[in-house]
Amino acid sequence: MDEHPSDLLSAYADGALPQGQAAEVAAHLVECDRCRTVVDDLQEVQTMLHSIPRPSPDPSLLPRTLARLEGRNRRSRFVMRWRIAAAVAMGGAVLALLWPVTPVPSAEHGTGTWYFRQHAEMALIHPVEDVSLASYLSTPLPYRAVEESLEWR
Amino acid sequence: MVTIPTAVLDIPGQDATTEAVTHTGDFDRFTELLTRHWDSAYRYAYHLTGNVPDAEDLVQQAAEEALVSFRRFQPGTRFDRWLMRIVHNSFIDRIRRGRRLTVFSLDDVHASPLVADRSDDPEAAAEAALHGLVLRALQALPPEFRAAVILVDLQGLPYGDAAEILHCPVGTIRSRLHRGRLTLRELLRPHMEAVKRGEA
Repeated sequence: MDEHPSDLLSAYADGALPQGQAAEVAAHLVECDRCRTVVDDLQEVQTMLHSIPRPSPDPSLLPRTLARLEGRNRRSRFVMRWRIAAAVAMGGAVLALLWPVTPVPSAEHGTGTWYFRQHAEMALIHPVEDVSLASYLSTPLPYRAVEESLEWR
Repeated sequence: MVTIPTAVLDIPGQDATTEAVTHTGDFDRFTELLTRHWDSAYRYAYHLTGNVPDAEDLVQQAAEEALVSFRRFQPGTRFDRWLMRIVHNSFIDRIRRGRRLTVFSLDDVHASPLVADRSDDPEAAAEAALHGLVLRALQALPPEFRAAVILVDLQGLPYGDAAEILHCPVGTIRSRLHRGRLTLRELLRPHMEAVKRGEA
């Protein structure tokens, strides 16, 4: 190792280097006063840091915080319930408003009379020649429905 | 020959237990975990901010954010690391938003004491003065360097855990830690030289 392994010195002092790299740094330190001084200084800094007393929180801080969290949690649940209730109420209101404007299908819808009326109205609106009318009536019409309606009449 | 230090701080939360949460969103479970790791979260907040009111404010804010995020807490994640990460993110967020935080300049390091000395014992007074000096030097570090130094040197965490908390590669932790310690060395040099001369 020709150059100074400056960036590795802290990790070396912490024993956090892979074995091979640590051996290289150790070999360098044997010959390099400058890097050895840096490592010594870093260790002294660490010793000073370790000497700092570990602060303890005020005993009332945790109970105060838990009470705040409890209040917040209760409020969240309350708000959530209100939101669900509001959504249900809103949905109900929308349905109630839409109900009268929705067209109610006729009781005759789909019956023979209904088909007959449809075609009768069609024929009135769009008068056609007899041949065309016969052609028109030949395939798409549900003849049975028409017949039923005629019988019914 | 340089010796590798073996003295390690008592490391909270290093019992290798993985606190899996089976019922996400369970408030009681959350408060239990929070209570267990409260002291270490507070200590981290205190060392980041450098004073009690900001530390209390920060750790409370982090606890609230942790509660909100608890539904996303992944089983298998270590709660203490997860909480520390939230504390850190809240701290960085406060700095970005420019909220009131005591900011120390290099000139402040050797100025007013951070730790009030209430003792008549000269030895205790000298010790308190040293602790105050070290804490002020810590506050003078850029936040990223400060966080790495606190997590590794004060909380006693391995590099990998610090990287997890700060959400960066281990190599970045190694670099920040080294630069942070070098800066501290410069800030504390007058004291270190006085000790060598036998004056302190």
